[in-house]
Amino acid sequence: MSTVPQLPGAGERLTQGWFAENAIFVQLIGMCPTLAVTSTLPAAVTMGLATTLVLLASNIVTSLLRHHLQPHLRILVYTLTIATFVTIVDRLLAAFLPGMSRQLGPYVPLIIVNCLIISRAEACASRQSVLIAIADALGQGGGFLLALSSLGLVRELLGFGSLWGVRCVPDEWPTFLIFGLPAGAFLTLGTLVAVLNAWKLSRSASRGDNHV
Amino acid sequence: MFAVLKTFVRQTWLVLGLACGLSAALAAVDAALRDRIADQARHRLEQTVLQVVPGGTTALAVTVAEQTVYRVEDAAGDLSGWAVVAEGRGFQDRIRVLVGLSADGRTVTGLTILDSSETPGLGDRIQQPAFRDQFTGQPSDRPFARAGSGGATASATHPVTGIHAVTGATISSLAVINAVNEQLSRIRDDLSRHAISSEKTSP
Repeated sequence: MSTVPQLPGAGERLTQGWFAENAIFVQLIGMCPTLAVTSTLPAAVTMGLATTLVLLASNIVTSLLRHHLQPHLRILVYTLTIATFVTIVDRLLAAFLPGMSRQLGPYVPLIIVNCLIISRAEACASRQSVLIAIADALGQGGGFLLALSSLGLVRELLGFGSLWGVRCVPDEWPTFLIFGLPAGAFLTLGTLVAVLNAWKLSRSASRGDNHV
Repeated sequence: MFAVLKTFVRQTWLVLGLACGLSAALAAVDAALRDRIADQARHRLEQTVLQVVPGGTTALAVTVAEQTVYRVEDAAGDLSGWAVVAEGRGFQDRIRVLVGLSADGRTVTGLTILDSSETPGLGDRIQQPAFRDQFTGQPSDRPFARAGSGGATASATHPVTGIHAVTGATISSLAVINAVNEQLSRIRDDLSRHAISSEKTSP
């Protein structure tokens, strides 16, 4: 018990969230917004940015308070902080992007229960400095945004034949309604995870690694 | 007694302080944005009202038959029509529809969907003109009904206006039709009376 595992530094926190520990494709957490609001690209990007903003604010506050957290009351502090920032983001969306706010509906307040945010508070922000917590929020939030955007891109293109609301396929091109529906979210997510895993396997195999 | 209180405060000062601080932050955000959000909702509703009543330039919320309806006036201040909100249960959630009526309340001048969470690509096609425009120009005292197979057919004793449901979205279509019927039968005569009385009082 003499060696305490070294926690990753700012640089590693920033990069690992994008691919190696991507919240959606690797950790498979935060599935509710991933499946519910990625039928179009604008909705997916707004949700990704809103979540990143909340994560950033929550990580900063949690990291600043980390020396005063009582072990049995820490979850209460996380929840208070997260709920406050989600409400602020919700009001900001309603004030400045009313159309998007209506489209996302209950999924904005539901960011409160996105376990990506509370898991970063627990895994990183409550143990490390503000700088590392900010890097972690940008890494994990960026990875979340990237994953949601790629789902939104595929689903909007296949389901509605458009990108960012602009039709961009020839008229004779078929659109597959199912990609706009919840079933399409599962299909797209499953396919993307499978493709990424296959790519990682082939890469480690070509390097001669025995373990994955 | 004091010892208990001391332990309690030592354990929870952070939670209590944070709750106070964050509540203050929320109150500040609400105070800063409340008017803007309310303005936006009002503006959006007004724009929608003017869409369903052609020729209008201003919309005023008034109370008719204990309901809020929108009185639409043209640039000269004359009554050009009414808009009423109808509400029904759709496939996913409630659907709120705004119905425009002529000044005498006898003709539907337009219909638009205010709020709905119907299935994208299926039920949400009730928002498209192909469905909505079927109501435009129809008499408000003749009930609407689903046209085609399985739908109600007009008879001499009970004439109806047929509306073609959106393919694959019968429930959403029927929700709109029923909401409109219900609201029109409730408010039509009151609006007509109101229109006549306001004509008499205007010089």
